[in-house]
Amino acid sequence: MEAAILNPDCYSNMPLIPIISFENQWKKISTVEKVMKIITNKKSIASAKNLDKALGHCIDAIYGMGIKHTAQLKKSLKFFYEAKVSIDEFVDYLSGYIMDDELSSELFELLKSHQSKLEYIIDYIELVLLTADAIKKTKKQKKYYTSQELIAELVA
Amino acid sequence: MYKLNPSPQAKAKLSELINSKYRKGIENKLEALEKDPSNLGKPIDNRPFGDYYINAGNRYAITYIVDENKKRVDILEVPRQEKLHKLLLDYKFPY
Repeated sequence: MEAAILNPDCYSNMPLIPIISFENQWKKISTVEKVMKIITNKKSIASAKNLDKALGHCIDAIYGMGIKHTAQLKKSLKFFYEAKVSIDEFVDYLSGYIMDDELSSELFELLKSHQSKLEYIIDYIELVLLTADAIKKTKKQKKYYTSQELIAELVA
Repeated sequence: MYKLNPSPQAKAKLSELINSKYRKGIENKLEALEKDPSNLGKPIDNRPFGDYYINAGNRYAITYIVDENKKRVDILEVPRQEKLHKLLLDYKFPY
């Protein structure tokens, strides 16, 4: 494991924490980029309120893996969203957070050996964000359908 | 009877499915949603993916919210069934 320090210019509003890369596992998952584009593109997020909800559930998912500092992580994720930092920076940050000293070496080994957990979190975040976006868009619509009307419109 | 209110992304996916071999199944699901959405769907519990979901076709599910006051069904997403099931039911962390 290799430790590094966050760029203070980029993260001036945040406390500096150690960042540790672990074989760039997150970068190997193509979905990460897709999800992070959603997170970093404000236009695709329903609203700040929905973003909070989305991030809250994201934190819940990560918390289920043993992360302790949910409030700080939530704040940090909001920071990334507002600052529109790059995907790589987010990945480095999050992987560093998962490698917090308070987490056991056993969890580190689990993270390394069970890629499915990372995929689970990514799937979770993606569906939460898509749902938040869908809720916003359905609320804006004025036209409601009977099933037959909808079927007629759906059929090419 | 309930009115249906699909999100644009749900509408796009449903259109794709209804123009495939799954047409009859999707038609049946939409008609059933119109009649009895709460009893038809499986509850999503407290997850942020909607109130209920139903399986659609062999590979997809429809997630939705029921507004009893307005007699309306907001159709949210049409995610891959296996992915939704994994997120809702099957996945267990080993610790």
